[in-house]
Amino acid sequence: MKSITAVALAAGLALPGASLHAQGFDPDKVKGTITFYTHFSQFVDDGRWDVWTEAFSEAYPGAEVEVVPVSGYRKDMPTRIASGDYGDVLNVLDNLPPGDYEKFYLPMNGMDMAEHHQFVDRYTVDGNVYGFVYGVNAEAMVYNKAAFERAGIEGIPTTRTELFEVCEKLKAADITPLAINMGAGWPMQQWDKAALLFADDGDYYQAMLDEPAPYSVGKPYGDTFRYVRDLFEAGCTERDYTANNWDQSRSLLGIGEIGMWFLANWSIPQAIGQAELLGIDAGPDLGMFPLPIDDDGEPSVLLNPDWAIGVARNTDNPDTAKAWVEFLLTGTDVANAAGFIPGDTRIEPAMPQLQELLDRDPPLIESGTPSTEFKQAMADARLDFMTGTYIRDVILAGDFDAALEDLNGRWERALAR
Amino acid sequence: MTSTSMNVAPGAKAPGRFASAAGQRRLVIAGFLVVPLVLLTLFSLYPFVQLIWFSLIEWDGMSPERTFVGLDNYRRLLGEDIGLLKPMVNSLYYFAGSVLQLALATYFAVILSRGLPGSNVFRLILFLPFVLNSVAVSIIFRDFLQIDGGLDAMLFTLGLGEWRQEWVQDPELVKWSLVFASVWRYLGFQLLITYGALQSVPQDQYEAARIEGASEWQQFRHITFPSIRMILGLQLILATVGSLEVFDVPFLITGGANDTKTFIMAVIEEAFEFRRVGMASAMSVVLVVVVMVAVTLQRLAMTGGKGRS
Repeated sequence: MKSITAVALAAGLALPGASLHAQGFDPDKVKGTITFYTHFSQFVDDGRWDVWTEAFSEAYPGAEVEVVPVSGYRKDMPTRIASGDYGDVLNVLDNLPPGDYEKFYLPMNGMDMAEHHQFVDRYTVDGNVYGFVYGVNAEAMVYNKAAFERAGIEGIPTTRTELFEVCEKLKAADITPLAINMGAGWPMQQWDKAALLFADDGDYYQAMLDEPAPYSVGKPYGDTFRYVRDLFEAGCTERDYTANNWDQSRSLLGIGEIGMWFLANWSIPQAIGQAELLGIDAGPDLGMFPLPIDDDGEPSVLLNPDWAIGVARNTDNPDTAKAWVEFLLTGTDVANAAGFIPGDTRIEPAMPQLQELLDRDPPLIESGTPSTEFKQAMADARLDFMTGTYIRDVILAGDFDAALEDLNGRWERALAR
Repeated sequence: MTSTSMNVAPGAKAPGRFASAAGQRRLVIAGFLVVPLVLLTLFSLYPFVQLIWFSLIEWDGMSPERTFVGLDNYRRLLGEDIGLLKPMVNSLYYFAGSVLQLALATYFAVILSRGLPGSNVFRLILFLPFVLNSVAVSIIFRDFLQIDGGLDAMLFTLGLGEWRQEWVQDPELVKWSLVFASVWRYLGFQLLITYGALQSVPQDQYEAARIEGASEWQQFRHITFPSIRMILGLQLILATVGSLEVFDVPFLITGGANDTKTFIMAVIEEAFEFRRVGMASAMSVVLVVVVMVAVTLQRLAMTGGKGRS
């Protein structure tokens, strides 16, 4: 017996790829060129992708990464996927039901980084890990302190009443109080996320599957839409709500022409960057506070993971691809550069504004994973979850209650299927 | 391909079909037709057949598996999902705009065909919008119609400040603003066609009418109009098809906000946003059927009672 185990042990150690278990891929096989489809086009402009891919080539000689920026990721990548040629490393599409991940992505099991990474469960299906997130977002109100000062506002609003008062003061000072960027479309997805704040439950999406009329006022989603509609009707939002002014709004927030918006920490580097082009240092002017949804004075902050990256199912170079995923998320500062709380818990978040928010010690809600059934129900009800168009249509509808009724009806029929 | 090139002995059996002059001519004709037919089949007929095939399956546009569901998509479209057909109602606004556009185009064509000084310049000015790329035009119109955009600024400088409206924000006005953008672009095209048709009207009829003392309107009603009736009918059909299929103007100016979503926008949203290629294809096929019905009805109305045209 002993000799057999000894032989087995020796054979096991001699096997190439014994390191496979520690890292999930074989470092000797990390060679060749892989294609990486990314949505971070801003890092192409400032050269960061070059810096990071060069560092990767130094760490793994013989390996190269070709970075291809894609704008309109959710719309364009599915067509590439349908063609069968979608590169080696790409984002895990979030409009895919988790049950479909195995069709398009390769499992990345046994990787070290899984132990130090956040939201790994979100992309784990049947024990297989399909994606690792870039980072986590604290969904809260980003505001311009200088603009608040100009309008004579002291401190931050912690209740809904105070928020509307703040809006009035900003309006009086000729500053757009709260930019919702309805014209750009996608920023309206924030209100899908806000529903979790109103529900005070990160797993509300799952609970919604048992709810026949979730869009009624009194239920989280209905309350969220009522909230936005009230802001809209009170004139707290931009006058022009059809044109896509997203690029412009970033500079406007940086220089203080917009008072605040409900996006997350990732928007801060973008606003700072745009304001820099105008010669203004917006860093010290920007801050964050939790979205005051009601009058109880202790609003929460939602922690929502951002995009995750995964390896394509049909890649020719799985080891290089996995090595790149690990290198990018644990060996570079991509998360901090993008303004996230890094997914890797060993990396410290570097954003002072985020620190300011967390120092106030607000209650944190972690957003739960939308399940396959939930995404299916949303698609069946023709509600483009996390895209924002159906929310825009509700806010602009002539008869608000009828629009909510219509949404309820669609949801009910979708559940019945 | 003259017969002198073929030296076939009389009485001898012709060496194959293609050796004769007529045969060679056939070969040449076929040869010239092959390339356009191949392109037509590849880019028009094959996608159309595939569209009908897609409307019979359920597919999310990404995965390799496609489930055959037969006429289920159609049943759902005409049954529980009939709300998907609602954006077709917006096409009525564009149709109304097209009728106005046709009237204006005819008016301009009649005036410009008189040969008045400067008519060449005006023809150019009116036709220029059509030459511009429709995407560029829509983007410029978007900024033009914005709050404090080009139109508002122009009205303000002219002292007509109170006439400023929310051209795109106002839910009633937005549909007509979009129709205006569309009419502005296609007026030139219809003008050109009508102008061409007017050239073929014999001039001596006008002289005879003028000698008889007919007024301008009478000349138009009795000489011009009957001559260009067919062309106007054709343009009306084109206007119907165009208004059912309008896409670029509303997509770029409002993105479908304020209830300006048109049918093609709904189809594209169905296919690429909700990943339901089967249902989107069924919607497209329904559009084709509606267009054919509309065109047939118009043709019948035009030629009905007058015998075959």
